[in-house]
Amino acid sequence: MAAGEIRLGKAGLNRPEARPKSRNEIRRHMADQRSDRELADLIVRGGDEEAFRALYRRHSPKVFQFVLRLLGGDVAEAEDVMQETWLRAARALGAFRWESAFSSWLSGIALNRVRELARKKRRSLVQVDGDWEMAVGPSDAGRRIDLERALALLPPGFRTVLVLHDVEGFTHREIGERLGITDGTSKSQLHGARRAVRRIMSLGAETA
Amino acid sequence: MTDEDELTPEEKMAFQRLPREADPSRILEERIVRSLRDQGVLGSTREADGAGTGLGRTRPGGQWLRPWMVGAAVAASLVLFASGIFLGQRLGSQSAAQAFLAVREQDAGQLALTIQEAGSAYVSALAALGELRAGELRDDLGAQPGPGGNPLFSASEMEQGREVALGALYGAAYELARMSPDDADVLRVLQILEDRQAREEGYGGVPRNVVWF
Repeated sequence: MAAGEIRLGKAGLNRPEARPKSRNEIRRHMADQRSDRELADLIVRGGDEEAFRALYRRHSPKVFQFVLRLLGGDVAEAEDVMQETWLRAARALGAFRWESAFSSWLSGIALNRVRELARKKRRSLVQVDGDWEMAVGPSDAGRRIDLERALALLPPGFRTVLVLHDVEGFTHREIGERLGITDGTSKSQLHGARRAVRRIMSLGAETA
Repeated sequence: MTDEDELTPEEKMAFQRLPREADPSRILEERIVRSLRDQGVLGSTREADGAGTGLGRTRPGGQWLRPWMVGAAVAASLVLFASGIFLGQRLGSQSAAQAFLAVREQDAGQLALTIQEAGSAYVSALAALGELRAGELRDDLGAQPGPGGNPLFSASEMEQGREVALGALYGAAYELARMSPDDADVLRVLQILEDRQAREEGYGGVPRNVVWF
């Protein structure tokens, strides 16, 4: 180091492009460093918008994928469910006792909103009435059907249990608690769902 | 896939490979935030930074921590430094005002030296303030005797000096965080000061009695 030279170290003066441009970016950065509980406290105590946005951005991608899959890939419906989920979660944050992970709590709210939507649209999330007709349409003809597409083609009653069990890793007991059904019903739905997915995928493989 | 009831290893792998995350549209976030503002769950105003993405921090009493407040804190710190000049006559310290006036038209090396000088003046002024405060506690007086025995500061002015010093600290922490946003220690310091401000200014706390210049 030459005489009179000042070593600035990590202070960042040498890499101005790395600096946040505004105090708001600093706030955002700070919010990202906080735990879920700290962010929730800021929201409950002060209506802190930046804290909410940080919490939203942290958890939304996972919940959105979960909801999107449960709804067979319907983006518009999934976004409506997401909105309802976050509105309810934000209002109930003060009552959340942090005995489970925030993400599990949020997913539970989302699942309830999906169930509510199904009730409104008179879809059953747990029963597949009568003989289920495979909904492989003209757009699927001649091409390989991947697992995601096969899940979307399932009737909601099959899809819900399959997603909860085989994708999200819930046990039959947990599924029963969340959907208000018995373990046995969950098992039989899963059995039917797996068979249905196999049929769809084999059909896709045959026509591809 | 087989006709067995259990998943085959290939099937399990296929499930594991499914994506776990998907990004909802950016519009959805704004829609949700707007609804929560309308319902009063989040603050009802936002900083007007022109870009529409910079958001401030809400307070239950309707107060916002705006950039001008932090700016005011920094400006007020100048008052502290001016006090430092006065007190510096006792301590023999050099003029902080001169150091600040020299901030412009300096390169990075000179700026670092200026920060060092200004920082020394800041700490010296605080130390002097602390000595006066110690005198206040010893004498249990509402006003502090100056070097000539004349009262210079009331207890409320003393408190004001303390708060101005905190404001300067807060402003400095912000600037440090801007310079090095990956420095966890700096962010912790800033968080502590933010939390302190939140406690003192919001959540039903007693308003500060600082007169901002």
